[in-house]
Amino acid sequence: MLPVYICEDDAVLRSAQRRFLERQILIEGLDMEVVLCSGHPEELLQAVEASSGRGIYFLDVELKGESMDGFSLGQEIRKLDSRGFIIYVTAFADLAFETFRYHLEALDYIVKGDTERMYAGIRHCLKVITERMCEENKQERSFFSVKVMDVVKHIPVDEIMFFETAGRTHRIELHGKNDRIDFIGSIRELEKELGERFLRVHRAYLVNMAQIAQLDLKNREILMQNGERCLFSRKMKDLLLEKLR
Amino acid sequence: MTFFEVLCANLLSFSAVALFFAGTAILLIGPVPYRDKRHRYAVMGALISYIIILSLVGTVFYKTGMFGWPYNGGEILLQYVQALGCLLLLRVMYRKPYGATLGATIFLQVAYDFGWNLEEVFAPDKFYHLDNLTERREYLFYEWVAIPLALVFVALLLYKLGVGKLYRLWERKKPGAGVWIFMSLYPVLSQMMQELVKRSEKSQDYNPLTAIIFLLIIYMIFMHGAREEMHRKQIEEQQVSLQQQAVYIENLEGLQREMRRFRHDFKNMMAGMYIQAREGDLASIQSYIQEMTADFDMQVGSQIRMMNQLANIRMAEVKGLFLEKLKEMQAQNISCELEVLKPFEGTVIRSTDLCRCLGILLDNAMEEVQGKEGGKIYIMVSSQNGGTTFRVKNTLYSSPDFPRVGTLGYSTKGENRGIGLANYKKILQEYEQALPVTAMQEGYFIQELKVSG
Repeated sequence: MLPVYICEDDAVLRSAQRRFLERQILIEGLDMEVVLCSGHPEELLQAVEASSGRGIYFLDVELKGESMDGFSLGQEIRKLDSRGFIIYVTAFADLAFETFRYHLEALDYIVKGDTERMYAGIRHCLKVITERMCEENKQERSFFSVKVMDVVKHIPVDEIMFFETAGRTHRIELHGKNDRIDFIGSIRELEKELGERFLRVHRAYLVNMAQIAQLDLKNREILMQNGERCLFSRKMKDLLLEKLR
Repeated sequence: MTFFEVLCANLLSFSAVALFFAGTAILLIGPVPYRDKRHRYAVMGALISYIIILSLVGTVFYKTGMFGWPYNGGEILLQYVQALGCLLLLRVMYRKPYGATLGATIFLQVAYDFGWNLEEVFAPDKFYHLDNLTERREYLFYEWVAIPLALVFVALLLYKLGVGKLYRLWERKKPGAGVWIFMSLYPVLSQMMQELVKRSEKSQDYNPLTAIIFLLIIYMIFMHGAREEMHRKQIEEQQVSLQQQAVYIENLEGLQREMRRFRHDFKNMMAGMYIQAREGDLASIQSYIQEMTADFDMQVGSQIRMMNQLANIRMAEVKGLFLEKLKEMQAQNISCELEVLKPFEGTVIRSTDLCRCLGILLDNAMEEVQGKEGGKIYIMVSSQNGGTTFRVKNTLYSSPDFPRVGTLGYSTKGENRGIGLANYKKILQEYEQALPVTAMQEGYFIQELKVSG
């Protein structure tokens, strides 16, 4: 059962949201329950801390007279519940959803003001959450997590081609199917962390063995599945040939 | 020559010197602030005592043969006495702190030496035996006619070059103690230079110092050129910033016009609602309110929001860039969202480089969605925990050969393109703290630039 939390400083809107959510959960037969409906972020945080587990959060952005705004509240929630679903219910003018999604992995936003639109938004969110939960149960994909300054990015391991140490020290460039990420790290540490699936074929390259398409023995180059190329050192040639056989 | 004769001659010479010092001081520091009669008397008194004391000292030096000391020791000593006198004279004249007065004193001393040396170029190279009448006449001609003329020439030169203005600027900068010490060593240093010139002279009309002096001149020319260039750039930047401010104001005015129009509409709507409320038609009132909020969001709300976000960008150059690009997007009917949740003050990246980088990212995004239906650009500037993330996200229409994005000459937009992102990478290479991230996600192309600090 997923607990649902609401934090909204306007009492009328708060109870409207609660009523609608409860009705919707009942009608759709969802495995959720509204456990807290409050105007105070501290109260909500206490409840989250006590429950330990994944939750659904409907948060207002502007919390008048409170010690934190919706954004900071989201940050605090993320510390306690890294996989919960955060939805922002906000006035149009406060909206900064890209930022919210970027830093808090917020699921969606709902613009308040027009009740019908708000209800439609809530309905949509509940649907997305249910789908997401189903999907997650099915797939068993392993991810590589990398911290880029203040955010952590998760890249499916099977989409990574190789890691390259750029000219500068401690800087590593991840070459993925859909991503190119510069981050600070050590290629030796990565080699240890990623284990068997990756091979250090060159001083500057750590390659995903599953993504190798071809070896160019003459130029000592590896052609990856996505068309990218990287080098391998002479002494790795035999090992590479053996592993790929 | 008797002591008295020498003294009389010196009195005349030092009068010329004192007049030169007083005159150039006025050129340099500015007119003497007139306080009262007493001040004027004090200045006069100081001037006269300066002449008398220095003449006396000079005569004693001459008579005791101190000018014959090794390494021109007597000359240096006299210069220090002269500088001390000048310092006190200037103190009386301007009542400025000793530091500032010292600066002016040394400068006057240098100017005086310059004039004197200039005259020496034309004078014959010999020691005068002052007991011989013809030689004394010749000496006195140079002392009383040629040197004053040279000094007048120097004063004119200083006046024409506007040295006073530069000097006052320099003085206002409050130079450090090291500079003062260096300057006060001038008499010794100049003597050392002289010695150096003499010693380094080689037999075949060749002196390495000539090359050094020439180098100095070239250096000065370079400095001058560079300063001029910097000045020009500064003006250019100011102009750009002014233009951007004008655009900003124009935007605000546009917003105000919209507000006025909305207020007008709003009044009409209220009137309509009032009638419906009287008739008790709740459904219509509800739809009216909905319509009104939607209208407000459409008409003014989005603009206000945009301006709110822009106001959070506290770096004028970046704000200007965004304004310009947002305007361009508006003109091309590209829908764009800008988010700046927390105030952005700046990064370690130089503003020009940052603007170039962001400009490249924005231009790329604009080119991709230009003229396409339903294209959107999201821009995010997010400052968190001392770092800043810039993120430009645009709808992707063409599917780029992802591994090649950012390599020189590659572009989805045809030949001779693709310089942008390659340039972008090149600029960022200079900065250890900047991490670029590129991704394709859910039909969007995303460029991120994360800067710590």
